[in-house]
Amino acid sequence: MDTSLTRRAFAVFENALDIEDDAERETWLISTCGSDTPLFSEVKRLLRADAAAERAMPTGGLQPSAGPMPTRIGHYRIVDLLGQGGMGEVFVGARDDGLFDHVVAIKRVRPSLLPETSRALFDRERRVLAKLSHRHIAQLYDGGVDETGAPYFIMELVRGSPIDAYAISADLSPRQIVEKMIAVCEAVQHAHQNLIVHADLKPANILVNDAGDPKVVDFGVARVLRDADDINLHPQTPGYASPQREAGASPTPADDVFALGAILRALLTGEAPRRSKNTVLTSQAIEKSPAFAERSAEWRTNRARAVHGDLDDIIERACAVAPEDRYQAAVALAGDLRAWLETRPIAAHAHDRLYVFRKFVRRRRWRVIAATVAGFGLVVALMLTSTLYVQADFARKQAEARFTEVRSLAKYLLYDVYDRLERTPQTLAMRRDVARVAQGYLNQLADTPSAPADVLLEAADGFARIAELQAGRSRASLGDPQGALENLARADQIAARLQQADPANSSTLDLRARVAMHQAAIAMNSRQELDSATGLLAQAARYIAAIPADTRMAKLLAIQHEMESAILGNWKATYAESEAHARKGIAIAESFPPDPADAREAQYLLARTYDALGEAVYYGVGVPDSIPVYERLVEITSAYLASHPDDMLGQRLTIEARWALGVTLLGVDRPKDGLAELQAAAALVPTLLQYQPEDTGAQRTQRIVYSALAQALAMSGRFDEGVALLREELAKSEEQVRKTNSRPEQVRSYGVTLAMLADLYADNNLAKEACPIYAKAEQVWLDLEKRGVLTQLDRDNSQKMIRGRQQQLKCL
Amino acid sequence: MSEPDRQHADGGGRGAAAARDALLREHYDEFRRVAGRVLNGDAAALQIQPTDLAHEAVIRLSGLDRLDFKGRTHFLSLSARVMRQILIDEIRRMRAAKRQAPPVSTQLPPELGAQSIDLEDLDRALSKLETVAPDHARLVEQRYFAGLTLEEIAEIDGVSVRTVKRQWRAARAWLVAELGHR
Repeated sequence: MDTSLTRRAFAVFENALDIEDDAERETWLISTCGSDTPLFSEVKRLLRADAAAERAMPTGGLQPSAGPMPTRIGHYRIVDLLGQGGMGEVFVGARDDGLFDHVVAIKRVRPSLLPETSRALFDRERRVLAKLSHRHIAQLYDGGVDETGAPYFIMELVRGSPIDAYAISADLSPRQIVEKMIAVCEAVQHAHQNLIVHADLKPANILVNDAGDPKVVDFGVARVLRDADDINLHPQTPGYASPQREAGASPTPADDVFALGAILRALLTGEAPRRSKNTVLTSQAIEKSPAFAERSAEWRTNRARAVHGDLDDIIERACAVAPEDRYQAAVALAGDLRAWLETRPIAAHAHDRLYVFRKFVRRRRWRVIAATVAGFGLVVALMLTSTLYVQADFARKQAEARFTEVRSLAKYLLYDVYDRLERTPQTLAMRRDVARVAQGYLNQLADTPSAPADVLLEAADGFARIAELQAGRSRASLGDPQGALENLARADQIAARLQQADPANSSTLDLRARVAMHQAAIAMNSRQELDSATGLLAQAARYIAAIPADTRMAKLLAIQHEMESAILGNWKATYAESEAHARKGIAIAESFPPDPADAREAQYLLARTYDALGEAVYYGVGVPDSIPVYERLVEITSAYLASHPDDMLGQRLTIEARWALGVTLLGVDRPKDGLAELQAAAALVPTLLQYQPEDTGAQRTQRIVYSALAQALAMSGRFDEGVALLREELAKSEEQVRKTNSRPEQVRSYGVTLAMLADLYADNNLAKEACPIYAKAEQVWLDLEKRGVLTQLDRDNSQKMIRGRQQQLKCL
Repeated sequence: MSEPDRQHADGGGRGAAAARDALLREHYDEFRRVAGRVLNGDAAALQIQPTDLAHEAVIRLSGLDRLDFKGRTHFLSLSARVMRQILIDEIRRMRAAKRQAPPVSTQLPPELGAQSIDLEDLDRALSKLETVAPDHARLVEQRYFAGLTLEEIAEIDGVSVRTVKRQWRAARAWLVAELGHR
């Protein structure tokens, strides 16, 4: 393709568009292109294509489509084009399936007025509208979306003219106009009671049929489209829109009342209303209306006089600026109009205008007021009820829509977004945000009083999920065990309520079991509250027992329960028990047919259980016996890592497995093998950290691995390398502790690193170096004690160990 | 997620390319998910309207309720290119993943012949146009992949409606001729 040719052709083409006359354009083109024949033919080619495209759709794009008339829409054959407007086209359609002869109006809306995503709303709304049945409302039968994506409505075909044109052509008197408008008010009231607002009332939407019956068309159509799209795209016709609508507020019944008043005025004056507030009384406007310029002065005066007074007042009130000054319901407006009709003097008396005026004016006034007052209680009650109901329903509908949105959003955030973020490097801060936002949504969900059980369960599950993100061990957690406990409590609270209503529901039991086990894990691992953990695990066991045992759900829970029990046994130093739990868990896990749906979870549980088994054997049976267990663990985790290289869980588990095997090998005096394992573990650490540099779990893993590696180096005769490594780690840990609000586990980790460095010196008979570091480490535990967060485990192990080593080395 | 979107919305014109890149970086995954969701149907043949995707993306990413009208058109304008790229990426990915991937077509508006056309063909045509007249190609993207009107585009790009209309007619004529050749 000759790019410069196309570029030049575009320039010439665009200028050519300014010349409308074909012959003139041709001449201009020939002179512009000169001898450049390729340019000339390229521009001609574009102009031909442009002409074809222009025929199909004018450039503006905002005009209604002038495309070919469709042959069918839905089940209807298109017979005729009734009209075109800003919103789309109206066709006459006939159903000719032989069953019955049915002629309808089909309104096809420009697709751009209804985004694809709003179709569900469109479908729901039109079903509501189809239920609206009233003598003065053009019935909506059906609707849908045609093959070009344009939504359409199938409606009762009203053969007639818009009410303003009808009023002129039929030369309606004010009395006849009021009669028609009462019918319209009743139609609008009926819709309001069915919670439907017209939102675009205007004479063009009120058709009077051959029998003289007014029919309101397009009920709720404006609303469907408004809800579906930006409100500014579909302003109500100026003059009929209330000041609130003009200002962009959502349509309410009060806006329809305003429009009814404006229509009445327009029909009486023969003039379309102006956008600005009508300051001139309707009766005065009649006198000056150009529409009646050809009428006699007497006719105009008569008409003005008929309207003067009560009708002026009624219109003023209907079109009041403040909604609270307006008739609160269309039925109230109809009531006043009817009162006006009934108090009108009969035509026979009309000749004596002065007499009629004097005689009836007070009575009429009184009657109008009386009618209003008599009906007042009822009308007020009715309009209040209907208005409140309409408002309440709007609020409810909104809440419902919001509710569904919130529900899907929370789910989307917690699962789709979070999981994806987790697999994306360096997204911890974002993940924290996502969890925070999702938390907000969940709070909203759980606080919805009318939320059904399944939604509540979902919310509870969401809380449990957030807890997992905050402090779970199968993932790079946000390191917030406190927040996790709060969410777990919240989840359990909801689940407990649900269980009361439906005690045997497996999903609820599953959730409660998971919650209790997570609570137990936090209790033992973060807080060393072993009794509390024991109680929680017993509780979990009861929930699990109530779930049918042969289900996958029950089996997964059973593995997890054995695992947590084994870990707890290790904390409690009841190693034989712990080993039994672990072996039972492994037996279930290894007989478990793999399923991709829970493969990750199953893999995690199996690895963790092996880890617990290794520890139980290490302490309970003997260090050498634990080596095969750890070897198997390394095998399992490495296989998972190999098949899921991007899953940080595999990285993490493999690092921990190799660390465990490595230090165990060091313990049986196989420093070379141990060093190899630890180096393999250390090699994986940077990837993990690169993914989650802020992840405290990953940082701790790094320190633990490096400490062991340093020890292994020293044992392999590379002491200086080991010291350098540990000092580096110590510096990092120290930096974290210096930050304000360092968490106890960070402080503890610092103390452990100090002790490890000291151990390294001590093991290599360097008491002079070791002693001050032990002193520093001891200070760390004392600080923890001062903060009231020193655990029994700290006292029993770390503190005791440090003191023992200090005495051994005679530091003190 | 609405804050960055507002920022995009505020900066038009000169910063548009940078804003678009930022948008791509930030929301690539979300866009992809939207596109993927549409394409992952099991239909024998898929027909999609890119505009729908853009609208869905807007709803997903920013929440229609939280973005004013102008912000939304800006956002759509910026996302047009992203949508197009991702859509094509996803189609290719789907082709690679499924042995019998359904063809993915789209219904062109009446002015472009109202024909059903393979989306990859449309993409190829657009890429070709891009090499010749990038502004014109972008216009098609904004109209077709983001569903903006010429008036909206004129406002976003800060040029007159007349200019946009002339460019649009040139781009459209070229596309009609190009697609008619197939």
